[in-house]
Amino acid sequence: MNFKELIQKIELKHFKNIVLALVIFLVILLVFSAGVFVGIEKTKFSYGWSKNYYNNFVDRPFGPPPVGDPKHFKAHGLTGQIIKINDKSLVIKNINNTETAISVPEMTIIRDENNALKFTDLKDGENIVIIGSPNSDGQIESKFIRIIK
Amino acid sequence: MQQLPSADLYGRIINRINYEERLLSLKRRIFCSCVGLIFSIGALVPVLKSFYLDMQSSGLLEMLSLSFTDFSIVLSNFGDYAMSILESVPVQSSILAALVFTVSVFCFSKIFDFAVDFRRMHNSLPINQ
Repeated sequence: MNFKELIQKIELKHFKNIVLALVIFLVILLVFSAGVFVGIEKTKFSYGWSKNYYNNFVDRPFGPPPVGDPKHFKAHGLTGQIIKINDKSLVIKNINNTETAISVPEMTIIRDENNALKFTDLKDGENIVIIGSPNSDGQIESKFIRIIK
Repeated sequence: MQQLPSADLYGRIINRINYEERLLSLKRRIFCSCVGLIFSIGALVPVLKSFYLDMQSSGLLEMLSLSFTDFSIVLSNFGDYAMSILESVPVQSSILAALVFTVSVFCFSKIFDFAVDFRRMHNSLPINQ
């Protein structure tokens, strides 16, 4: 039996079902892979957060640093309230009361409504949305910051 | 003089038995669907509430709003933006809400189908049977 005969033998309906099952399988595989990838990113960031906790948040180390729960961390963007402004970085607190250190390079775009702002215009207590990427110091290196009302 | 039964009596009895059997089966399925609908609607309220709270705490809505207010910046940082959206999605409560909602709609559509079947069966039954 050659390939052509095999194709003819399989009814069209069955062939469609097989293709549909393959597509569903691929979609499930894609979603699963995305979940694994996001989980790895969150875990890496929470490890960096714990490792650099005293550098980023506390001046005087006392005891072992806290271990961050990866599900409360977002490594590429988050929303929260500014609780501390440093020289070139800030600390924000999200709704789960998790502090995250944000480094703000000079090229970061900061906006409030339609106005472009500077880093020095940011104030404690303001709610912001950040897009950025994690760095090796357990911080998010911001690329865009928007103040939300 | 003894009156003889009509010639189609046997067929009518068998038809009636079939009808009653189908009716009983239909009633059971309607009952199961109603129970499913009641439970799923009962579960829908807390599940949707949990989904709403998770959506609020995740910051997903604020992230999504950036695509309307700062589209060009979002495009230029699309990789990080997409990752932040993926990180913000409240997966468990979304799946649960979608599941419960699907079960509710499924049960409701089944009840509707069964009601149509029931009406059709009832109308197809001759009055003298």
